[in-house]
Amino acid sequence: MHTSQKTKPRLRNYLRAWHNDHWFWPYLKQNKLRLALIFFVGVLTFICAGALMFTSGYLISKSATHPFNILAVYVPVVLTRAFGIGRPAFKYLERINSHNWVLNVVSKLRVQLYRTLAKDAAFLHEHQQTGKIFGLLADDLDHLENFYLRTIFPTIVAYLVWLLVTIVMGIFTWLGAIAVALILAVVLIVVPMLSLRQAASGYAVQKARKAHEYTTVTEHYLGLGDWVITHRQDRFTAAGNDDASVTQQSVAAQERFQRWRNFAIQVIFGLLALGLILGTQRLLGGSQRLANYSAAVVLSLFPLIDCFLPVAQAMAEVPLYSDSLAHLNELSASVAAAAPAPVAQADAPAAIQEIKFDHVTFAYGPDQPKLLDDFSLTVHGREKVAILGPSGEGKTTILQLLLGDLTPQKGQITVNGIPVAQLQQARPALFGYLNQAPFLFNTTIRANIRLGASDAADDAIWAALQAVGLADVVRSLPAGLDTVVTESGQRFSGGQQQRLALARILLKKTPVLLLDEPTIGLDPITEQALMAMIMQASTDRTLIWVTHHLQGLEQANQAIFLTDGHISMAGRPATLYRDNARFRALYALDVGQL
Amino acid sequence: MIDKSLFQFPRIRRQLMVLSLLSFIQAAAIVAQAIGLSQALVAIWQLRKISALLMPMLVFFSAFILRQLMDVAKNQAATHYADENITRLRPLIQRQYFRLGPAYLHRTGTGSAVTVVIDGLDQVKTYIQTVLPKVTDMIFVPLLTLIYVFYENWVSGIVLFIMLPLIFFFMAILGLAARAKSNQQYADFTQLNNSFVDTILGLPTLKMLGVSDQYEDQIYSVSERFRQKTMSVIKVALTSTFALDFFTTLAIAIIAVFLGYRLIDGSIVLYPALVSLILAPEFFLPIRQFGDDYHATLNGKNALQQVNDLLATPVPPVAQAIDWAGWGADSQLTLTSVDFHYPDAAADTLALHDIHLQAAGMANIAIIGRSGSGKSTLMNLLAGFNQPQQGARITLDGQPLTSFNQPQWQDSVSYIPQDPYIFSATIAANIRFYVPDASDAAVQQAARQAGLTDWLAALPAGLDTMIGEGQRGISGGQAQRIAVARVLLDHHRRILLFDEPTAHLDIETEYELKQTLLPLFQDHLVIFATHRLHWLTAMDQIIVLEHGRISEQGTLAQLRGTGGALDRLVAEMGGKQDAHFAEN
Repeated sequence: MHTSQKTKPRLRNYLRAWHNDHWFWPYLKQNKLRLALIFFVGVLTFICAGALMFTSGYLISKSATHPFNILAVYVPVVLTRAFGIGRPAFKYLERINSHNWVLNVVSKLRVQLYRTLAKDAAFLHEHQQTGKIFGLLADDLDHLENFYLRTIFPTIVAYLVWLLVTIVMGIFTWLGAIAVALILAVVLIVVPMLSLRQAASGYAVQKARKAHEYTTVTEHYLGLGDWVITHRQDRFTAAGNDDASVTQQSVAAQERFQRWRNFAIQVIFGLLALGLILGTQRLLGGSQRLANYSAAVVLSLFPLIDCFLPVAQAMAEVPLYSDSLAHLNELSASVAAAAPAPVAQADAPAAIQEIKFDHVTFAYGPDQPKLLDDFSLTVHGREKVAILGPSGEGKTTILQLLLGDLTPQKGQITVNGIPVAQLQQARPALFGYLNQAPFLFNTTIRANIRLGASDAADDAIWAALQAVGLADVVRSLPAGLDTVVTESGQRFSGGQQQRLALARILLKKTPVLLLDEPTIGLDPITEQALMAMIMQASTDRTLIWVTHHLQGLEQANQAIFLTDGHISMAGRPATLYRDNARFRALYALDVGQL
Repeated sequence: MIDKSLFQFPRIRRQLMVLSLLSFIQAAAIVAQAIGLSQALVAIWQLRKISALLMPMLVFFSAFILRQLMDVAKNQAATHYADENITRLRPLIQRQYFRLGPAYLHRTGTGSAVTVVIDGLDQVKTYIQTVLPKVTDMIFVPLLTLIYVFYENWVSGIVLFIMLPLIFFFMAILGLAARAKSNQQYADFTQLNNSFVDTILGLPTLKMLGVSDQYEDQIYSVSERFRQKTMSVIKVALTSTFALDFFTTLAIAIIAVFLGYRLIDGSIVLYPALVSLILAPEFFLPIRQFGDDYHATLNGKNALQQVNDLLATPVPPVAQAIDWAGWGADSQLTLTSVDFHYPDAAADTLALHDIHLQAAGMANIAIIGRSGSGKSTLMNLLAGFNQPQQGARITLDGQPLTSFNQPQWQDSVSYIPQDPYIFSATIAANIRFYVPDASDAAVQQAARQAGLTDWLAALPAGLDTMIGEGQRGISGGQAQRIAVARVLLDHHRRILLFDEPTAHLDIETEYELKQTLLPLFQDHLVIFATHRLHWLTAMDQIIVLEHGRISEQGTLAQLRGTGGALDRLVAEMGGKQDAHFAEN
């Protein structure tokens, strides 16, 4: 096959994903007793299924010889019933226990994911669409859950049954045992490997095409207005079609493979049945006493097909799981690599005297543009500083550098002369930071705001809501503070979410407030009101805020305009207004002088 | 379990006939396989020579192969049919979205619409190809095996036959119990599951607030609660599988014991007994398989329902063609008594009420109002995405229109929203959106007029730079300029509809974009929805919207200083009209 060259290295990639793994093997080593029990009960299920047919076959064969009385078949009668009940009962036990075990592992995996992510502040900020990535990582955990249930457990049980069948047969005929073991090796090793290889080649194509289809279709849907007014229904209708049809063909090829693969496995079992018939005839066809076992032996083969058949398909799902596992392990590796050398931590300063950026240069990488280039800024305690400039020009970077989430290539950032790296432990007590897309948890308003101060009384919460102008809105809700903010805060408008998050920070009473575009997307009336509230709430604090409008600038001590990593305009707003024509023009535009 | 709408699919009857035939052949093969196997086993039991086995073994093996081939054939037929239908449905769904328009899409959410087309159709495919062969198997396999067992040994036949309704009965009871129980727990269950994702998504916030360590314990305890809830849901589902398994294996055990007694007292011989025993599991197999796949098909059924609902949504009518050459310097547009109502809003709440509007020639009209006053709704109506209520009178150059969803009108319109549509392609291709065959020189000129020159000069590939998702990111201001370049390239589109084009831009970018746009206003009819006051000075006419009604209309000079709606709005929005700093 021409794809083999491409897929072989990929197979090796899978092995690499297993190497140095922190997310899968460690859990298989835990709770071994329970795991052994699961496998034991799983094997028992198939023993019962085979034994049911065995005893039934023996029972009727023996009965057909017209024994003198019923007691001659008493044991097989009892066993038949026992196995008949045993099979579903063990299956039930196996399923319950394996789900329980896996969900227990999931609980631990979740903690591990949380802990890993929490460790790596850089990861949180390097990825712009963090939300999307976090969602994907949560999906990866779900995949691991299925990996245990759908691939690992059935495969191990099948292998154990394989071993057992070989041993049992070996007691009677070691030649037959070897033959059967080898034939089953084809079903349990060779075919699954072929299956994995086939799946691997399809998986890569399908994954890439599906992602591309998502992008294309989403784009077309977002731009539907333009398609409609240009009447290009055909082009719109065809969006993502080629991706979909390539995926469809790839899936169809995979399904075709699966059909014929299962057929081939069944043919092997058919041949095995023929061999078994001939073998029993040779070994048991000598006397009636032995011949009574012939039907028993042959019939017990068929239930075992259910045990061996799923292994090949289980292997075909490995690419998906490997992918997820690789994501998680990459995360672990990147967190371990990014872990900063420990720095002796200083205590939080009681009051802010001075925040200083001293000739700071920052870029995300050596080939990336310099977002800040020899940037210096001094902010005194209780000053209000506005940072302006076009988007993508490093305004947010200034805040992240100050927080210590990013480290500059050159220069130093200090608070009261202490480098920010030494203030990481004190950071929550020092800075209140409102990012551009503040996150609200899907719990009550009270719980969301209390995140700022876990022991805050309702009075304090109401005061904070009052400060951001939401007290009336919340009071009008039937459940008041107990209203659940629906997922991602969708119950509230963008501006209201922003203000809820702001209330949380105000409640925290940190000496420094860092706000990133607190009013973007708001209409001027709301913007105006919110800026006034922010100014009022930050009376005794140091405030640095990134903004795209000039609202609220009247009360700022400094305004800084960034262009290409440099300060292009800076000063007291009143001074700028008096001396700088450009500032005056912008100001006039912003307030909309008529 | 089988969705009724499947019967409306093209060629479904033929498909079901084919599958029925294949299932029938398979059922016959299953019986033949059992006959061959039983005969061989009886021959061994009778201590006969190996030659006596050959014929039955041949029958067994050929029947076995035929049976497996029928599986392959059924799957192939069903998969092919499913693929065919997906290929058919996909363009239908996309066309439906096209006809329903952006306003509909905005209401339902782009994300969920995309999910219907991509993931939804995948689920529908799985559903079709799983459920169809399962259904025909469920009919023919039990039927034929039962008939043969009856023929050979009627008592076994009766045992099987009695078990069947019993199984269905218990399945139904347990299914209902499971549904009731899982409905009850589903809310908790999803909430707990979401709570993990929620916490992970909010991790940066928790860290920021210095409480991320406290949440670690909570993750574990919430996950453990999640495990308990899940287990109780799973237990119910597994109990129903258990019951199904229990009755089928019990039936086999009963038959075996029963046949044993009958054999001992000599009322039957071995062959019919053996064949009944072998066929008993085959009799139950399709039902067990159906039970196993039941949950897997549920998603597909829901997805199919969603697709059907979407395709059944009524599409707004396209207004009739008129005799019109496009918007010119002496063109006239009149809207009289235009109302608009959102389909999902309460019956008596109109989003737009009694709109009267006149536009002539290359006028510049501002539509201003606070958030939620209906500015965007009106812009969507003018672009033809929202359809007015009955009774609205619209005349374009003396000719009546029923709505703006009219090909010639839309051919004259450019609609520039807050976030213009940028697709993954080169900058040049994005600019060519309205005029795909525009010359390179024309594209360059449009780019220059739109103020893209500096930016393009800084890009190594210039106009051939790829932009859009996964490509080079572009800023909001650049996206707006590309949208403007599109308009400049198409000389036929003389009507510009702007919906808050600068709301997300920083003040400097907004200032520069304004300098680019102003010359463009000269020779276009401009309708400009905004809440930024500075645009008003560039406008000939101002319309103030309040709660979906026009509260004031006129030139800036006419409206300023009257203490009317505009003055109130300006007072709230701008506040300090006299620069605060001037006094310092």
